[in-house]
Amino acid sequence: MIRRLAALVFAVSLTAQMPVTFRDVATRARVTDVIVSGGAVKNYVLEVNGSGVCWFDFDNDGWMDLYLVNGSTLAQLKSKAPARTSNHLYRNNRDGTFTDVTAKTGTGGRGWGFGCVAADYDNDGHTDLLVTNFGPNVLYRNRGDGTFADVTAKAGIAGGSVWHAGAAFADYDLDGNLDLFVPGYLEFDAANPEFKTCEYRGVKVHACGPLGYKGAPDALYRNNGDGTFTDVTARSGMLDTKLYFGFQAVWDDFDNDGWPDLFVGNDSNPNYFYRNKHDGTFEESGIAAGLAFSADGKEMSSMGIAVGDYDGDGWMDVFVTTFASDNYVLFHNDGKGFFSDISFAAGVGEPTVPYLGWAAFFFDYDNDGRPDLFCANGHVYPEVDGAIRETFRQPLQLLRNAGKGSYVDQSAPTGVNALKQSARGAAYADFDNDGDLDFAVSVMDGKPLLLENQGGNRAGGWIRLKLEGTKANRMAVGARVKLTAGGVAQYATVRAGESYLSSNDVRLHFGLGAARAVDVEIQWPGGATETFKGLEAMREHTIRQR
Amino acid sequence: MLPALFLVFALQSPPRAADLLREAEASIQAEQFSTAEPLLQRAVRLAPSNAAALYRLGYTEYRLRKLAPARAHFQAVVRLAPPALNARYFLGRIAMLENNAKEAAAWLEPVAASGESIYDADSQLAAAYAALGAAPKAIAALQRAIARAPWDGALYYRLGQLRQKAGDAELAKEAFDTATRLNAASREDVETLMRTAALLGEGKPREALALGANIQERPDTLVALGVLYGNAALPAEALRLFERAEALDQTSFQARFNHGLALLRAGRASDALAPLTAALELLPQSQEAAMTLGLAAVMCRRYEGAIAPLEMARQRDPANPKLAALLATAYLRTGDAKSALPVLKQASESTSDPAPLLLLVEALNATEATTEALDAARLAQRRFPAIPQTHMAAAQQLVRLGRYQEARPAFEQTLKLSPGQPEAELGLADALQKAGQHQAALAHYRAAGAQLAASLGLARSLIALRQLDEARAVLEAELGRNRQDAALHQELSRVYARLGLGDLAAEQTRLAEQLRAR
Repeated sequence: MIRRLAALVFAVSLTAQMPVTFRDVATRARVTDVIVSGGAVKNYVLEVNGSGVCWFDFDNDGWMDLYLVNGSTLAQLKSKAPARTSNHLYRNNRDGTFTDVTAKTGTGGRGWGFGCVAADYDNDGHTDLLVTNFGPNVLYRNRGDGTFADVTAKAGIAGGSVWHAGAAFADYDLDGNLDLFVPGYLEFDAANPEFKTCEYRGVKVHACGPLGYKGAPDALYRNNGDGTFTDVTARSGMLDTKLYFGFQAVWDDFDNDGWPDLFVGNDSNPNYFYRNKHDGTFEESGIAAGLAFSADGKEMSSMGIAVGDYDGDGWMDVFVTTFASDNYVLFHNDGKGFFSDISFAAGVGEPTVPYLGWAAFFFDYDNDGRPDLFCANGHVYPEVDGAIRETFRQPLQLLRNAGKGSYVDQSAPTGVNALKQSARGAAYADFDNDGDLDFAVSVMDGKPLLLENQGGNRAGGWIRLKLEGTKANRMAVGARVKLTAGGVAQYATVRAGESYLSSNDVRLHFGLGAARAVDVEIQWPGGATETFKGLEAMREHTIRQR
Repeated sequence: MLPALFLVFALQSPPRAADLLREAEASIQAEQFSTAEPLLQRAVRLAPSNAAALYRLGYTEYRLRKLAPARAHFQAVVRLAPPALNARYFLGRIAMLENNAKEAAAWLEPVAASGESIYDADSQLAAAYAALGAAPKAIAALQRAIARAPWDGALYYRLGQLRQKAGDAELAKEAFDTATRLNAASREDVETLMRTAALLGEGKPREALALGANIQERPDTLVALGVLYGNAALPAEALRLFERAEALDQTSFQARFNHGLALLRAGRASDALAPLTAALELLPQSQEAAMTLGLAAVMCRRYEGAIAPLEMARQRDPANPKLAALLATAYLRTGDAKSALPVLKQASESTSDPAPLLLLVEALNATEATTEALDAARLAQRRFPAIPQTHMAAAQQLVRLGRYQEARPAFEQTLKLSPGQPEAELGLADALQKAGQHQAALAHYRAAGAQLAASLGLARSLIALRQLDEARAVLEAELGRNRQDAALHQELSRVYARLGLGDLAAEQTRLAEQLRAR
């Protein structure tokens, strides 16, 4: 008995030291269609913002499928000819490979695609898909038979001809239906684009923006529960009168009052923070909350947004990626929705200064119970290559949560920085259901990356929760989970839409380190709380709201 | 009987050294060196460590051309009573007489460097340098000699010879012409100038000015007198003379150049531009005119106009760090950092002046070479560890790269060398704040003094420490001074919100947005 116990302890300690690495398996997985974003020569801002990635289980087989949004070219737009580029839906074959089922499912998109969000907006148990475009958005309703229907017109969320960016669903009025927020980026005349020349650090570039353009308005759509939405932007207090350049929105209950609030990252403008007033309206208080600007009181080029409780204090924190020579920003939630920029103290400031960031998310890649950080990087100006120190293609970054509120750059040891590309959207999922989190990256003008986690499931224990609402929305978006294991608490929220133009695996994955006994408390949207004690680790649990 | 004997004995007792010295001095003054010599020899035997006696003996022997014993006695003076500049001067003269220019230069250099008026040390040093083939040094020494004796045509003549040898035909001609004009000056004027110089050296400026008023209205004599007044810290009087000289002869390089130089020294850089430009046009080869014009242009921020003359000057003196710094500044301020780089890289090799290295940091940043700029700043720190600006440059560069932790020791070192320096206090405070060490940051923000950035930083750290009332007080006080600063309103909005004063927070947000929209 003692010998066996010793062996177990030894095995646990050994696995705890095993390094976790990532390997690109996109080719093996047959996820290889090139992501188009304008021409190779980037003459316009429309061509440099890339597109998003969505993980969702469209066929409810328990395996995450992958959706990659594709852009287009100006020539294609002007010609109005049938699209030559398509978004791609890859069905997970459960053996490490995927099959492109775009045509079969009818999810190819149209026009110039940017973001995607996967959410069961009609509560029928099948995850639907929203694609945001330059131009009218597209809402695909999942029929549940392996196909999707374009219900944009009926839904009323097309949004007109402006440039739409990173949308997000949440049930802001707690009526059980998922509502939708779509940020507007800017107005761009694709028919007669203005060829601009500006200077970036002494280098002449052309894809200038967003300053100099007119911003596009944001929109809040309330789900009527019958397949339609109503534009309630003005009524809700979210009218974007300043027309800031909205890039990505993320819903979460930042002040822990049980109601979803909204953070909107605006490019080169102050970020918005809409605090839910519980009456269908919001109060914008980004400046007062400390989220509008960085620590130095300056606007950021807020591209990607990661939300998570990195220090386990029960309050959701926010991480924002920014432009080159400007550090990415970690906002610590000081409680009640007041934030402080602690980027450098947390160790995320200095390593991110040289890069230009896009997608970002908190995820526990090494299953030690602490949320780590991923950033997808890549420049907007190809002209910088050889002219200044910044480069167009940049490495991915992985910052490991070392505890006590600090991060350590593990990009090299994990191998994520081995490849250099101009990355944009990214999202994580345990696509091979082996107990550790992988992630996919959309690469502008290149093939996507599918980074398989190697060793995370041996580095620590894990548990995965798939939540299903009954009184709350079916997908349980907005549900807040408190997991306690080994005396340590972790907090997570089910979200639909975050990172950059992307959606993560909606199942909540928790790393447990060496702990194996797990207690879970779920606060469902609408207020009901349920507790589950002694959940078994190393497996997935589907929990249906009682 | 005994008292009489005592009296006779007293009258016949040997003389003391002081008495012998006094007696010898009288002979030296009468230039009766043969008489003085034995007296001094006896004095030295009586008092072998008496430097005054040894010096006078050496001088007497020098005048009698007994060079070997003169050398020995002067060397003794140098050992016994350093720095013994006068003795060194004569040792230098002796070395020149013995055709040993290298030794002469070694003796004369400290004399010239002392800045004191020791005979014609600069002129002698110039001769030694010329004999050694060190023309630039000889020219510099002659120019110093001319500054002390601006009436001396012979000095200008020697200068002309050196210029000619160096191939500077125009400069040689100018020097020769000046020599000719000075040599044509009246004897009275020359004596006036010499006597004026003497009076100024004796600290009698009023008498010197009175005497100088008698000088003839000739450009060269006016310039010479102006040079004397300028060197004697009588700038207004010097300026008037140069103006008069220039008015008399607009083709006089010396008049125009010295007029410009005097204006520059008087803090009238923009007025100096015209005469200096004219001087350079009269004598394009003049290094002094080019450099001085460049300096004047930089001082009145006419950077474009500074570049050409400074480039000209730099061609002749590429290793001059001050010149390089001026030229690089002109390039940087005209947005041409690329052109500043090679100038600064070359000048940075000088180990005597940190300015080129510090400007190199700026130029590298301007060309987006931020990592190389850090390397340059680090090099400045290593080469000039006692100069606070080098540590400050390194600290600021590290901050630019987001490396706040590494910047802290550099800020701390700056403050060690320059306690209380506001920008360093602010920088250190920011670095501590970024590291989350808010309590430690407070003291440094307060030490940074009454500046907006310090108030903002202080407030932010107070917010982080939850000392909201104090943060509020800081921000409200600063707003009293800077109502138009959006960042202050932003931070105050944060404070009010955390204090539960929602309406006040909203108002501050509104004000901040209004200011940002402007």
